[in-house]
Amino acid sequence: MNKPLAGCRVLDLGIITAGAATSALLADLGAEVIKIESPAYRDPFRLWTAGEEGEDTELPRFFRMTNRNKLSLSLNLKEVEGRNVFLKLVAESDVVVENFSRGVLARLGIDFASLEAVNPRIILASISSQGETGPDRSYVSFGSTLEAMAGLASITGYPHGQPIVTGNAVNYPDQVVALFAAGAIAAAWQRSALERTGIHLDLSQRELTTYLCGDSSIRQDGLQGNASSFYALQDCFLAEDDAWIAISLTAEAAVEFGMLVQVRSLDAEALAAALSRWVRERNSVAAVAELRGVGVIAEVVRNALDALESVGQALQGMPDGDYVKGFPFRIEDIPLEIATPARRLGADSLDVLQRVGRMTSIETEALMSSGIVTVPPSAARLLPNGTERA
Amino acid sequence: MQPYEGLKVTEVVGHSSSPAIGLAIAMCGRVLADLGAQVSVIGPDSETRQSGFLRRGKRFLATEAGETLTAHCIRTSDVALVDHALWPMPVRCRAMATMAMDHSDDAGQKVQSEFMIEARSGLLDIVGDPHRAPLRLGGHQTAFAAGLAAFTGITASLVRKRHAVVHVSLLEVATWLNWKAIATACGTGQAPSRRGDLAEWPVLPCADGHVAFVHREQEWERLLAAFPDAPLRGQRFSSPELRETNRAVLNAVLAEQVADLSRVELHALSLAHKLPLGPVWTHDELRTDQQMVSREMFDESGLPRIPLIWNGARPDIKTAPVEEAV
Repeated sequence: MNKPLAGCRVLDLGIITAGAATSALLADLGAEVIKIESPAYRDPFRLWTAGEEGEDTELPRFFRMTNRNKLSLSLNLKEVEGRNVFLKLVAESDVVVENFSRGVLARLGIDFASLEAVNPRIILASISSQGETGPDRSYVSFGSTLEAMAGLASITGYPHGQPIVTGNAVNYPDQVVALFAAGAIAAAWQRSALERTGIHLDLSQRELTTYLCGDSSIRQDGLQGNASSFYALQDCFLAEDDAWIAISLTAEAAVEFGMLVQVRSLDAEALAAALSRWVRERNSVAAVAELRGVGVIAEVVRNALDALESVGQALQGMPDGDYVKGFPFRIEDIPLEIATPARRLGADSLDVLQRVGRMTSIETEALMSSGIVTVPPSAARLLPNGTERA
Repeated sequence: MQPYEGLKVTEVVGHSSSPAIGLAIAMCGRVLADLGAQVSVIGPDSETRQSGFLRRGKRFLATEAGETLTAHCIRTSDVALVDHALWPMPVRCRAMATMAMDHSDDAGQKVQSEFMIEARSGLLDIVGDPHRAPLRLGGHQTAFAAGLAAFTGITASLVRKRHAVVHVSLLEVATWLNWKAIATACGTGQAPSRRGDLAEWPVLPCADGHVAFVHREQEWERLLAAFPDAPLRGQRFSSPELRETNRAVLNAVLAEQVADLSRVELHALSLAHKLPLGPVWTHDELRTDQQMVSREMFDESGLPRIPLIWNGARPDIKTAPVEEAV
């Protein structure tokens, strides 16, 4: 059965996470995604290793996980010929995704007006830190910059402590934007087909983060710690084996737990003190089992390694057992899968130029000779007819 | 522009549904309402379940998910967003999304809170001080991210002409969000747990609040230019490796540099030197923040509007919320 976005062609200028992960979701959903990188400026994720030994230097793990199911075209957009090739592809495509610094697209001569001039129904998804406009549009930002500037840090932290950000290990706004942007693009694609117009989507990661704190913005919450208004008590407690246990205690379970430890007060502070003592005397696994037995919601806190162990099997999406990023949703009767692993730079250059750009082999040869287009060394040894060069 | 004007959406949540399931469904409904859909809710009608922010533009039809009313509403809707516990359902509509805590859950290991999902996925382990309890992100980030995942699944499904069902689990979404830490664990055998004072990007007190001191190696020279009098030029900080080795000292030096500066001054300094420092703003302050004001991010009641500008205009809920008890 066709995937939902089958027939949608996406030119992916996305780099690192925000843009590239958005395009990856579109690819997972069936769109034909052509990742375009310059021979001189590759996606920085091609260079970032996760610190492991013997890693493929062109396809390190972060890159593989964020660029599955895509084709790769290596095209120098800074040269006029490269720009012209790009616009040829735009004429044959539905969507362009980008998350460059603001102003780069205009400098390359491929802003929305230029794209619309060659394809009046094109969708441009501009994913940026702060948005296309405003005094902060050029503010250099990474995910955690935005956690601070969007209000998330002001509610994240230990009570009476100071704000905290997720840091480089998560950079939360970079991750979550893809879940929203891919949906906005799908909505725009449907709309553009109905109205036969181009659509420019301006998506600010800072604004999305503020929106996701919309609940707290009304109450003017301060640092929330681990507490939640849904539970009489919610926090982590240290067990005898030095593992942390996460506990959400409902009012009903608080009564049961109170009976277990012979504490009658349902005051959160008294309960926390009793829980702290009780958990500290027990092994984490045994404590969780006993707590669950009296209806308390409890779980041993896992680090990423433990999480990998428990959910890893679901992430082994490649035939060779390599781990993939997984999927944030499933669609009944349409299994999402990694049909194409991440590609080497330019591995699909010739296919894209000839099939999508309708260029002749003479034209592609000229582009390769001038360095506007590149292909991997193994492909460069072949002539267009498939025979080896002399 | 209201891309989903005319689209009918029904949210169905039971009284026994986990609050996180309700929040995830409500977030998906809120986004669709922002884009013009007419969203009706069957489920607990209380501010504790759906805040004023999530309720914007929705109709509350009934507090109990009675079979007849639920079936009627779903049958006459284009989209239904339902608790997975109510699945399968005898009725269907064009696109449906179900929300679960964990698809692999069995009765004996039932995950019942968002906090547990964060503990399971490894997200909880990342944030906070290494000597203190793991810390969750403020608000309901896991549930709301699951709501966004459902939104993308639904919008993609609406493109197709056929009936489609999207299944979302909070655990799969949290694992997806935490992919970088899991990838690192996978490659190195080590988990990047919380680092506290040794964090690469510390949050530092300044004259009137705090600033997230975000910077990469690429910004080091700019950082030196922005703080010309700081003792950062010595041997101990002369290479990325030495800066990592001396991270605690470096963070202490940076703390001294920002201690007397206001957040507005740090914002100006960051703009001038192209540094990614993040002054920590509260939500109240954001309502008068120049960037937010210039892009009209908040509505007349001070709530955030949808974070999307579509051909130059921000879609907005046009109809006032109508609440009907049935």
